[in-house]
Amino acid sequence: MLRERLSNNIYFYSHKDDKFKNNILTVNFVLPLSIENASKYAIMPYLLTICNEDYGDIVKLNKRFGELYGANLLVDVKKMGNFQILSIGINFIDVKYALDNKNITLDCCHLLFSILKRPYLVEGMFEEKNIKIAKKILFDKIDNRFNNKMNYAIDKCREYMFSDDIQKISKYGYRKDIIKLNNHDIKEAYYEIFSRSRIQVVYIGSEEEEVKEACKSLFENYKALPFAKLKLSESNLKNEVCDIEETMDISQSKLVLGFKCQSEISPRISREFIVLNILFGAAPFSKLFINIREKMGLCYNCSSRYDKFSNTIMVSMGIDSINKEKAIKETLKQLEEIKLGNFTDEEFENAKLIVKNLLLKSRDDVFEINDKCLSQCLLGICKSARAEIKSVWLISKEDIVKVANTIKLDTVYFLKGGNND
Amino acid sequence: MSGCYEIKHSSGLKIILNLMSEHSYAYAVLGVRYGSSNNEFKKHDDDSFLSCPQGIAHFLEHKMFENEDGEDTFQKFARTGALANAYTGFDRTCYLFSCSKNFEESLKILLDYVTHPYFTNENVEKEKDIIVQEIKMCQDNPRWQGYFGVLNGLYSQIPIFNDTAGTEESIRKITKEDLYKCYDMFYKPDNMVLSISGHFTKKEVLKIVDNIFTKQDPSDIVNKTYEEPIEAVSKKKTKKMSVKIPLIHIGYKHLASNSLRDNYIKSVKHQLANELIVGSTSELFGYLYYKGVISNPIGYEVAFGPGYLMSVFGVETKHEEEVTKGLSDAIDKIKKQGISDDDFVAVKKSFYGRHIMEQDDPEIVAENYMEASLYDYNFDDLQDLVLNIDKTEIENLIKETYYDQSSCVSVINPNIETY
Repeated sequence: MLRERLSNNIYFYSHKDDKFKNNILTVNFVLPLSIENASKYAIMPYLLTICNEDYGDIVKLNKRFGELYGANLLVDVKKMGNFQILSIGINFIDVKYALDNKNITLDCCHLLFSILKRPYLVEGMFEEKNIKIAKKILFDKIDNRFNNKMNYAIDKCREYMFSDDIQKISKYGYRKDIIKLNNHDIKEAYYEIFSRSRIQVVYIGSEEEEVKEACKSLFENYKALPFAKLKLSESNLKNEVCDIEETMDISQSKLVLGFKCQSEISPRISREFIVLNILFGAAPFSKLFINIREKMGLCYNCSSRYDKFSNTIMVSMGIDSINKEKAIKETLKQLEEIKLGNFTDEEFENAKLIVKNLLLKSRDDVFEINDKCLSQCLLGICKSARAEIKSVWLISKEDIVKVANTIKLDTVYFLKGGNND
Repeated sequence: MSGCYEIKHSSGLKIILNLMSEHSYAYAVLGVRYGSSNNEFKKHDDDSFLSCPQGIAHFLEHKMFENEDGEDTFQKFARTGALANAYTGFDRTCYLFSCSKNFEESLKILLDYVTHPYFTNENVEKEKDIIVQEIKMCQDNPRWQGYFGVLNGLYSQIPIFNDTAGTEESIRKITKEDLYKCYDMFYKPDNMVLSISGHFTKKEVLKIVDNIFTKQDPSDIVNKTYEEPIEAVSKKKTKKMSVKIPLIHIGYKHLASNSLRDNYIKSVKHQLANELIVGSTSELFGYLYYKGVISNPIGYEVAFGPGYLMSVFGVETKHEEEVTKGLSDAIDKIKKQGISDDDFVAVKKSFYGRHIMEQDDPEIVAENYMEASLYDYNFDDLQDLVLNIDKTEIENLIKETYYDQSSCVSVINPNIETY
């Protein structure tokens, strides 16, 4: 992997691999998450991708993507720990598959750069019409989270877990703040995302040098302000478990248990938690799946997710309301088994094998490499998949038991539905 | 080493191998031509059709993971590091895994468990509670409910309007004997396709298939056929759910061919037609976007199978009438004025690009080849098929198969006042 500083706080990362038939180039603005700025920053990627100086409306812009062999525009707002990340990128065919003699890689770079550098302005300001559309996109994204009830329950549980912490802030900001945004706020935000971010440009494909040179010219005149060292927060545990129950008109209740891991955040500890998570609930042979679904028949879906940025494990399942206590009791029992080291060598080796499998598989997907690159940069590590696999094999049962004993239940969120009471 | 091979095994099993040796992993899928719509069937010499409870194909998929040695299939895969899964559609049941190491062992497990059913009264009963939870999960999924709303509005005879998993009532009736009956009928080598892509060798696959698949009598399946009118059953279906933005699905029932291959080819042409009607470069998208009706292009899917073919458009919006009228007007405009040459060339160019990009993913490659093969089509021919499609073919397709009387709108409305 190539890593090069293009300018103050602007970094270029690339992974050259000729096997890929599709390439990806993303520009990621990493900003400190804050209640004051979350909404005005979140709107920017959506506003910038409606149109620009060169392509004056959404259809013209989309037609340009179509001409580039159906290149995909990638727009995303992420939250990683205490950071809000605005990503705008392009995914396109590798140059060797273009049917004309044009350099599609450079054409795609230039299209992406024109989106970033040449916004559509009228008398120096963003147009009201486009601001209104970008606000609607953001409102729709916020509302859409509600439609998937399991994700909604997980979001709610996290809100309660981090009620006193920066991490509770929504990555899309808040409706009440978005409504108030005017074109002065937005213009200010446009300049801030270039000057206050750490900018990480990531490219995966066959033309590393050409893309790097193009990126250099994009950022040659930018002077980003010094950026504080990226630090991931460590959230405090509540004095007692927060137990929340809400009702909704749905067929099946959704149960979420939010655990905080009270260990330091480091790449090594993260890998141990990833293995632990497979043992616990992230695979169809994990303890939760075998016991809560297969033996007790309480649910169809039952899984755990580990988030290395917030150092949390979220267990979620859809159940009948009547089984709430049974499901909680069994989840805690299975975690306790891991804390006591009650898992076989075979279970442990199988969990490591799955992690190895996933790490190897991630090398075959430009999107996974892009995400991994971004998260490794945030965590300040730079390890190849092969080196990571080696580290996974070095993890011992004792390591797992040790980190398991730092896991504490913080919040139980129950979205009650159905009529089984 | 790269390359694509199609092999007809002596057992009758069709095997499609896409070697992508520069990749780290392999993806294998074994597809059976048997899904939730195959609920009435018989052998050629039988007098009457056997009718099964709704959801039985999906139930069978769940139960295939049981083994006589008492060890769950997922546990077996855990030892190889492979990730396994299965799914059931209207016309197929598919069993799959992906792995980066231990490919041979993983393939043996896949082929072994799908060819060795083991059902007991106890394990069948145990599964019912789990599937009931799956059904309830789908009941809370607005997209699923909206989609099935359209199917119910479009079809009255071909049983694709039933939920794939059945109902709580129907699955409670399923017995071990029912499962064996269905298994024995449909799980025959010549009714299956094995498609593998990624990092593996042809030799290791053939050795394992030779050991597990023995020559059997050809399958003898007569699926019941249905007389399905071309008109929709109902113009509108509505339902209230816990959503914040209404969810609209608009379905157009197209004239389906009796030939599976013809239906596959038609479905590709409908994909192009739908992209021209509602895609991100369409006039309709620009109009609705700037009117504040939608914030993303209207999505679409072409669903097809034996005797059915439909386009289903879907979008979240608070402006149902603008979307339905806009879609109907856009179709009428193309019927009257045709498609511009530039738009047609651009859509084909985008199709080419997407087709190339998908080839990086062994999962998509294996699934695409399997699906085409289930429809007697060679996926290698797709690129040429699209390049040779004439603009007038698509114009005629839109003129002849997108009618208001063959369409239905399904709306999921919020059950609460949100703002």
